[in-house]
Amino acid sequence: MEINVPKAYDLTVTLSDNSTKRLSAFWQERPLVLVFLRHFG
Amino acid sequence: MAQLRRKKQHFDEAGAQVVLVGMGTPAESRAFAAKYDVPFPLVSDPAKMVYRKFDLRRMTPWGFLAPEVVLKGVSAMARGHHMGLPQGDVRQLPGVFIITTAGEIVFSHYAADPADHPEVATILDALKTVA
Repeated sequence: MEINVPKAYDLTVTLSDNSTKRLSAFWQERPLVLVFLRHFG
Repeated sequence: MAQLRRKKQHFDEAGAQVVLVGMGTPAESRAFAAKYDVPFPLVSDPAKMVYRKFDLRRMTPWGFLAPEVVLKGVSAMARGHHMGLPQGDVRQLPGVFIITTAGEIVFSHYAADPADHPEVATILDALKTVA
């Protein structure tokens, strides 16, 4: 039986150094642990 | 964040890339990274576009008053975690995902409250199942 695994949404993101990158670039070479923070402070 | 930073080497050994997403502007993100010595790339998402694409939830307005949330907050402060002035949507809940090189989400944690974070050991265990 085939299992459907959800695919991650890919989009262009801005990094803290103001550069932009496709999110998928982070998982192309190795698994990505994507951590969403609550807020700064 | 502190847990992740302390365990960076474990993520490196697991062959994983850790990336943080925050709601600050790039300048705020840089300040945050410098203040907490963040060793990971930090995505700046003040418009919460990435948060929305990953369906992360927002807490209800009265969620802060839930006894378990208050207890977790007091407990965190007792352990030395102090909160400064929040920047960003204070009702936004956090989350963690593991994405394979095929772009598949094999682990997801949607926080039930602001203090609901998966243990780093849980994330590292989940990484062991990723080819």
